[in-house]
Amino acid sequence: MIAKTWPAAVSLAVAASMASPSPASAQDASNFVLRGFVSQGYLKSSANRLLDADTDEGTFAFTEAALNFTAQPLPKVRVAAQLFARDLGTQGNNRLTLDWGVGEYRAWDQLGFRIGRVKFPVGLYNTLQDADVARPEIFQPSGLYPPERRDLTNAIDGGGIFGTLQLGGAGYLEYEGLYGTLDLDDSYLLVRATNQLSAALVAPLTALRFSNLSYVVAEREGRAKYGWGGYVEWHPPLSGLRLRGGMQGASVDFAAVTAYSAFVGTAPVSLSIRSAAHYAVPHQFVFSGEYNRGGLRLTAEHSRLKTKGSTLLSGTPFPAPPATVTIAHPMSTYGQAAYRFTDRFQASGYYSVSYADRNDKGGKNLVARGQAASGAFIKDLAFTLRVDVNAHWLVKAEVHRFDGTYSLSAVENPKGLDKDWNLFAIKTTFHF
Amino acid sequence: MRIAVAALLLSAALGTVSSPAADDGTFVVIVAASNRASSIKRQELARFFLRKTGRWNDGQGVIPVDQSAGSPVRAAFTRTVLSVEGMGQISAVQNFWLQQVYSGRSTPPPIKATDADVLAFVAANPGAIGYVGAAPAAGGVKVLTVTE
Repeated sequence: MIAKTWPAAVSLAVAASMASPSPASAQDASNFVLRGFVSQGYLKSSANRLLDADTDEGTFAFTEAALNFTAQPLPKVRVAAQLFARDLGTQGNNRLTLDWGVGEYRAWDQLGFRIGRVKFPVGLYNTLQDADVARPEIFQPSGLYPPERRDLTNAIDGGGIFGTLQLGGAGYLEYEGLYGTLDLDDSYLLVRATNQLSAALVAPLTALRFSNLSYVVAEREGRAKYGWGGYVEWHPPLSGLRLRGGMQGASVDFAAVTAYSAFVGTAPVSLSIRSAAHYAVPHQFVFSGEYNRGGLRLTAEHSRLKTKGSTLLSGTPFPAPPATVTIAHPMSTYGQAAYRFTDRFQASGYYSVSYADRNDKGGKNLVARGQAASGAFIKDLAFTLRVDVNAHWLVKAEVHRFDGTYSLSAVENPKGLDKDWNLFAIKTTFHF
Repeated sequence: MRIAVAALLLSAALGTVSSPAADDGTFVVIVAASNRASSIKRQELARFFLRKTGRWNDGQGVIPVDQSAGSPVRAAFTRTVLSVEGMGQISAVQNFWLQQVYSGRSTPPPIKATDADVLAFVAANPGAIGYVGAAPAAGGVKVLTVTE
């Protein structure tokens, strides 16, 4: 984390434009490539606040800027990094960060080594989360690429191996494996989790005759003790087809201290309650297929995972409940088609279905707990038109039709959640 | 082996096996005169230019060199060679490199503006491979036959 100001994004954009010696990206014979972009978007939802942004009212708090370099000083050695700043609702606040930065040694075609802050290869497109210019849509299918978990899935501090294996007449395989750790102190994921933990105590405290209850999360910290992942991708001898199987997991610890203020009768009281949560993904499987022919790209991906969560409380005015482990089996699938009509126009659409627990797709368990069944799933039909106005300026417009509220935060939507809702997004990007 | 046969049958059924002649007369593939290779398979050529693989048979590193996006010879090369990876249009190749660069995974080949620049680059770099519009008259490079 380098700095924290809005001008970070502007500075990146200015630096990028000044650093570009030509209309094309800078590149010389030593393979030094400098690229960058700056984006401004607008979001409007018919209901529900998305990602703690005021999308229900319409918001321009949707910006991104990046400066990226890659260089290959020696035939087997490559270094690359990206500085990134973004703002999306309460996320990012245009704080300039090292998005990723890697050093790579490719000893052989079959085996290379990568170390640093490495983009995490979940599915086919997770590594493109911060590369709006390199994908057809504004929002990637949320089941495979959940924006609320971006800070956990974006990149990892560690290292791994990669390579290409020839299969003769059967094509070739690409593979990658990573292991590392991750600091989540500044993550939206931590904010969201600790806000939910704090909010969950309001009802039991109110039941103890605490009135006029308010709270603030005074301290929070989070860390992924470890994360691991990898994939094997087969390129069969069918032009444009690739098939990938991937697997990953993570173990995350959150801790927070929440200060509650209330009255008992007319006497003001304050409470400091500490919560410690453990969240683990023992394993996630992702199966992917992509087919390219001419300007057409067809993609389908399927993810299923197991999650384990537990919370331990201390400082409560009632006997703290024992930590119980909650296990869920989320699942997500989507299909996408993108077609580039000309160099200037590309249209795409996808249908994505995600379930909080594949053993409770209809939400019966949620209803039994007094919650809406629509929190068990989210179905998203999205269409995007991308217009590359010229080589350095693009505009995307996107509409979503949602059914369900899984992945939305009830704490961020105190007025309640609508089951059927729409989202309109428009985004323009200048890049070089 | 079963997988290979199944994939080939599927490929043939979908009519995606390309015609054998890679060199359609609009470009030739060149390497340094000292390079031991005399021919190259189209798939291998595509993987070199997409940096999927990067070693000649003698272990020397491959240094691919591209031409600018507006070049007709690059369009012909892309249509004929890179189409085996599903990238028969320059815009698809550019998007591939955007994905590689912004994910920190790879670096595109250097770009030269003219045939003469490519010839000079290839002649000066023993592991280099490029393509130009016509067979070169100058020394220092040789033409590779592209096979299926």
